[in-house]
Amino acid sequence: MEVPIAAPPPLVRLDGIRKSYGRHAPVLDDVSIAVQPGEIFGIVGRSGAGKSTLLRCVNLLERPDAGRVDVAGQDMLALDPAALRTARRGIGMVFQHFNLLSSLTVAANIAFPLAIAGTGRTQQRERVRELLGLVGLTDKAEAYPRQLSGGQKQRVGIARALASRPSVLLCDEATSALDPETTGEILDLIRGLRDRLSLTVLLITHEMAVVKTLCDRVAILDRGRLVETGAVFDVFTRPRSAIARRFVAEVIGDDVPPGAAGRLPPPADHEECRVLRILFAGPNSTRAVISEVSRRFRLDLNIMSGRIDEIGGEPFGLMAVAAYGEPAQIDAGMAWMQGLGLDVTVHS
Amino acid sequence: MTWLTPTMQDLLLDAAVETAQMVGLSALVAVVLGLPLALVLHVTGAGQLSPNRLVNLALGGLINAVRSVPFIILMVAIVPFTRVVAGTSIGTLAATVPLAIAATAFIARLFETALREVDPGLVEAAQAMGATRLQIVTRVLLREAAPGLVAAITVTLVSLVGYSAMAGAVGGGGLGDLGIRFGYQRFMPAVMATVVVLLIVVVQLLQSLGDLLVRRLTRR
Repeated sequence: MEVPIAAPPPLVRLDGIRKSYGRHAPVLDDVSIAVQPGEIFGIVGRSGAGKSTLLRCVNLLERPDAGRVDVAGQDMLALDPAALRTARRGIGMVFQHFNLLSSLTVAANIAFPLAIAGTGRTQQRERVRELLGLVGLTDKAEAYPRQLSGGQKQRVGIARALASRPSVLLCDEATSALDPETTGEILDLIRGLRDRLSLTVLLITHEMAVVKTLCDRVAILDRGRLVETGAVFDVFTRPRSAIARRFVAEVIGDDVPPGAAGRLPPPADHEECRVLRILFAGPNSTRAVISEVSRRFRLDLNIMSGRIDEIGGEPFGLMAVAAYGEPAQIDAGMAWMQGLGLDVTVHS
Repeated sequence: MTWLTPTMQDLLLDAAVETAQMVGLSALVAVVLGLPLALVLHVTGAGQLSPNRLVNLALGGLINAVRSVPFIILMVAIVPFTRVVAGTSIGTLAATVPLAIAATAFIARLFETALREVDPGLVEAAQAMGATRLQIVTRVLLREAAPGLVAAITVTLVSLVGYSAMAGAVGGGGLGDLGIRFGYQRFMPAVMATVVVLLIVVVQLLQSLGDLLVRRLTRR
């Protein structure tokens, strides 16, 4: 999602967040992010990168050592305990291991935030019925968490997080304990809820696939530092940092099958063989570039792999070709393709 | 069954009632005092709701100290205190005082363990929803720990049946005391056997009842 020029004030703003435990290396080192209303913002990183701590700084389950936390225009760190509890009701949270009370039914779990806020019984029942419908669990109201599958438990977790009609939903590895199929269902549910309730979602994950299918923007966290932030499409198609490239490769896959380059026929005299990685994105992604470059620059192109994918609704293609031709012609062909806005790099 | 004279029947019945009194009353006191102690011990622990190292160490130390004193020594050591509370230092009520103190320390530790078994994620989730600490204690910790708390009560009751046999040292009476005095000192093995069988039955009943209740409460 493009951020409009006159961007509204961010709904969640973390500014210069620092946190360390004891004398260890800092868990978070000057991290700043701004989440716009209505967007799904992903924070991705390896385990131990500090993403869980960062997420908990939003509702102050973790108090940063330094920095500023603003949620819906409120300076969270300035709130007294009672005001903080009230503010937390406006921030829903979903957990990796669901964290449902085993002693309560599904309906009572969903009503829990309402019960502690002192909402009347009739209103609670009404709201629980709505929420059960929203997450598709109407028939499970009287079941206990033990009787549910992982995906169903997470639906209960989401319904509970939404009970107090929060403006922000924090997702802490919400799909990491689920199988791929269930993960897809939960991601669809979260996206659908964002669209219907104009929710703002801030999620953390170590799975780039989650970012690819769900997020509008992404921040990459590495050892407590923010290394890259941007629209998901941009980070996927043009990762700038080494760690971002590794994360992207996990989802996009390695473009040249290992060992394939070694089996290529040797080039003729005065010619060269160069393996090129071509990324098609934007307006020229559908143009017949390969045959055109072959004709114009008298190159023989041996296609090694190719795929078309979609990120955030935008198509993009990734292709690896072995280009045979005179070195100067290959250079010229690369320059021509780059002139069309394609991302062409030599595969090492 | 020539030994089971009407007198002996009365003695057995009286002893059973005394045991029930000592165990029941001291268990009641232990639950009432032990639960708040366990809660304080739990929430003042590192990383818990209200971390307080000083309170936690002091309370933990006190509980450990009481638990380290052999019961028979505890019973005589606190005689002055017993006299204040029970008005006397001999008899069933007097025996109940040290029993209650020992059981309180015992059950506080068991309760604390049961509370620690509650997934910290549930506490975190409740905090994220804006729950107060009191709400977290009553609606999360106590509710989720309920099966463990009942199991702790069962273990305490069973232990108390055993401890109460030592109550004879201060004239507390009870089944164990009857077994010692008649079965052992007067060499009436049938009395001893009867007492032991009775105690086995009581313990079995308590344990089964406790287990049943735990199953009822467990939704996991």
